[in-house]
Amino acid sequence: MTTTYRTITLFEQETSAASAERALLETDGEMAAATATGLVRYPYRVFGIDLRAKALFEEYQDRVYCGVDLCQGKELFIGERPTLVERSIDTDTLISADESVADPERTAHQHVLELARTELRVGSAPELGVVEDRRVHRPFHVVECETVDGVFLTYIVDGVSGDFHRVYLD
Amino acid sequence: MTNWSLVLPFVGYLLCLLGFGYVASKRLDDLSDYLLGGRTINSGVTALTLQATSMSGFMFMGGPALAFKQGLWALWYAAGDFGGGLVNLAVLGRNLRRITEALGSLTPIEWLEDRYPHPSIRIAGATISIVFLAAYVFAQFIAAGKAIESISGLPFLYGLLIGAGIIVLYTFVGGYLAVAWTDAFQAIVMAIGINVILIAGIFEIGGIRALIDEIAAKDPTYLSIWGQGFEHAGEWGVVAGAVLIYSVGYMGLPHAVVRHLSMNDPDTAKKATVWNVFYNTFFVYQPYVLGLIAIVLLPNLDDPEMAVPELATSLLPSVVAAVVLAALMAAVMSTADSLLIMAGSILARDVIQRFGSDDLTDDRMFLWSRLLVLGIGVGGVIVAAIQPPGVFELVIFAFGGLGTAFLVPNVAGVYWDRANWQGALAGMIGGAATNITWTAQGLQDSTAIHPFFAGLIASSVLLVVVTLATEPPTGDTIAVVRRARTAGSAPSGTVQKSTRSLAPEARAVGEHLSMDDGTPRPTEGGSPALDAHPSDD
Repeated sequence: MTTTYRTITLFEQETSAASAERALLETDGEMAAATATGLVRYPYRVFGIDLRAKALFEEYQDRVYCGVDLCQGKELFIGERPTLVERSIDTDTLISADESVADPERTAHQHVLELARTELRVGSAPELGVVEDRRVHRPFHVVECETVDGVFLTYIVDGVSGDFHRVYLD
Repeated sequence: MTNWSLVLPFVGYLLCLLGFGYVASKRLDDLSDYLLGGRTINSGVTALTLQATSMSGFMFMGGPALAFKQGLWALWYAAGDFGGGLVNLAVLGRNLRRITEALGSLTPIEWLEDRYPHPSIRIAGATISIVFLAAYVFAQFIAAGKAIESISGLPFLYGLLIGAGIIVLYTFVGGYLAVAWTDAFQAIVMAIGINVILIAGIFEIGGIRALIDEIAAKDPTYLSIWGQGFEHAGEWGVVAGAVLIYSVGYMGLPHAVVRHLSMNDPDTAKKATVWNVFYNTFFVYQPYVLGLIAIVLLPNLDDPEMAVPELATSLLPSVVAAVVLAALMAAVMSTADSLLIMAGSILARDVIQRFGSDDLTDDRMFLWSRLLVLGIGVGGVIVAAIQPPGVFELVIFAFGGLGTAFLVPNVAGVYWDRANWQGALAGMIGGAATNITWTAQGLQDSTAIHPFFAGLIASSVLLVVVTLATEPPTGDTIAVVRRARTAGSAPSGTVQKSTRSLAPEARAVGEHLSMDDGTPRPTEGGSPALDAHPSDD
């Protein structure tokens, strides 16, 4: 079986496999073992959006970033300008995008618009302009855990933030 | 006649809050901080804010009014309220969290649509939410109008117009003045204030024993569990509704379910529990006891909903009374504002973005949200001005409507795999419609069954009958639900510290890892679908 490599853009990985394992082990005394079994890369479209809005006493102007998950079509507001790197990656580790995800740019645009409405309480629709648009993959460690009761659990640990979430497997 | 010793501290307090919010907003670094919705703010503060601002109008006006009219009977509601959060967590908490994690659902309506995949679920869920959230907002308008009336001496209608006007303006152009720190500060002032009034009232009467004796002397039926004059004697259907509405009704509320779905920060979850106990201890029963105190101290009170404002102004120094009432007013504004924003978000996210035209402009999208807020505002003022319903009745109606629409589909979605979208839709619409009909027609009086209880029965029956009369659910949703429900338990610390917002990614990674291609899964010793030798390690 041949391995195919492809150069892709990734969020810079800041959490190592060892850190991912440690983070999960430290969550609870009942977590007995954690082993990072590898990495997968998750696809997003990341948009840089220039936002300008006026509220009662304030005026806001900044570039904000919003990613759209290309598997589920869900949006992700990104607090800081993402640091990106180019890497040659085994294509088997790439999570396939769902091509039916509709218009990611519109999704990101509407998400930022809605955030502006709910969080800024601005008087009129803000001006939004998409100025950056990149397809980016986010690395996730897959970590196998075992509890002191012998229950096996699988987690993904975000290679950027170190946040984690359980995976429910068949 | 305007009492300036009340008005000036009242206005001064509100101006200080505005200033506080403005200064706090300047401390945020950049626009992303704003858009992250106060993520930089202490999680305990956020939890306290959520708890307190959702109860403001009801606890200061509705609850005391009920106790003033019915005596100890009002405590049926408090009993359910005290255990509501715990029942909610026990019945739905763990399994709902697991299932929504597995399905990748991030909002309550999204969860219902993921579990019952059909567009009608989203449309019906959004519509029902908006209608009953609007009723909830109406209650806040009336509470704001009465707070202004009690402070300024202006007629209720003027108080209502001023209160509703400020709330709508605040929602439209408030900027970040609705900062959570301000809300939390108000919550603390409210909690302290209500206990101060309570202590002052009990001292004024001469102690708890004296309070009971004086109430018994006026009318011993006030101390009956069946209400004043035994109004609800033997009406277990009404009692069941009164207890259930706050004990299990929470499971139907979009904003309560949101909390289950959104507690992604372990500190928030832990501190929310602590603050929950704090509020249950210091806030749930006090308003009802104040209603009882008003029976003794304010026997000629025309409007029972004015019990707490009247007690505050008669028992406390003017400045303290004004601060407590200003905190009430500010919290009412905050509650109404968050309800209006939630209604607008449901309209925007679940209806317009989902079903609207692709070429809808930002201005038009904003306009729709604004029109909804304005419509609710104008509607609320008209309803309150023509024939103002009680805050209590409105809150019970709104709470009951949401509970009867969503509770049964939520619970069935978790525990009954056969439940399908047709049954869920029938349960949602039937439950809400029954609640509306029961309330509008006053059927509680003739049937001795509480509207909430009636709605719950109708919703359950409809969901079961329609589900069984139609095809079982298809697709892989039920397999995901079953898998999540029967999966081994993760340690509680790990559960609390996991990040909710990664649920969609986790679902897709799970599908990637589980692809039926003969690939061994990681538990079985590594997989070609994983990069087993990350270059950075």
